[in-house]
Amino acid sequence: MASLAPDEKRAALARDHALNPHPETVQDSLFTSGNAFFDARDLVQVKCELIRRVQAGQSVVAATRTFGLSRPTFYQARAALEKGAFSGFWPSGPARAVPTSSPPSASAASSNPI
Amino acid sequence: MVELIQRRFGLTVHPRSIERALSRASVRGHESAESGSVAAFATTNDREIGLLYEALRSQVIGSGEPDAKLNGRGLFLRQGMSAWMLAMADGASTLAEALDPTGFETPTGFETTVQSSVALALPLPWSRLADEAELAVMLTNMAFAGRPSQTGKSV
Repeated sequence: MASLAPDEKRAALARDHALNPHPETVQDSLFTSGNAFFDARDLVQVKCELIRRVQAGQSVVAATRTFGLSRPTFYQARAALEKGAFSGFWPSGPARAVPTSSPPSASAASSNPI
Repeated sequence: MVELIQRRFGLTVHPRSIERALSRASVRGHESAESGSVAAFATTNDREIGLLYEALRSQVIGSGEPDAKLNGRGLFLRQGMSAWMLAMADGASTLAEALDPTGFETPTGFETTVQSSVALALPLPWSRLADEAELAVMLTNMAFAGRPSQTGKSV
């Protein structure tokens, strides 16, 4: 088995926005078996295996509970995969505020032309 | 670029197909610009990556003791699935360098592994779109891109 540097993998997962913030909630047997291939810290892999488990016949409620993810997360990941886009597996960052109107200074300038 | 693809993959690709693919990749990359890695990954065929994951997964579960030189398993273990996907998307030569600086060893019985992996992957959405033989050829070409294709398949 390849020697593992936990900090290196954690850093790599964080760099790729794939670090599971709550790996302790993943209780599926794959991730608790001790096989280093299945790492609960890897959120992309956890989602992938969650989808596999549901397609194998487990209920969404039970599977999401076992994998420590929410049902919306599962449905979003599955929808992304059905579109052929693994990119949907990565958690999106906080929504950016999109200005819907001009800033006060700009609107003031436009309403009071010199 | 057509010549590069011909030399590397042994495939004949129409220039307009490349233009359309680049255009789609540009749009997807813009949509996911929050994450650089996702933007980079958006240029790949996700279904092929999914099948390669199935191949790797079945090997891990089937053989037990991982072999770091096989299908990027070492990279997967060291850096996780995202980094592995990116390496696969970046091309087999880059993956080979990431795996083993001394050279990429061709696993014996790989085609058999791919066939069985495709069969295992059948319940998954990424395997709905092509038949097993085509996928086996595609995966073999993708994993060992240094070898010229024997199919002469046009895309």
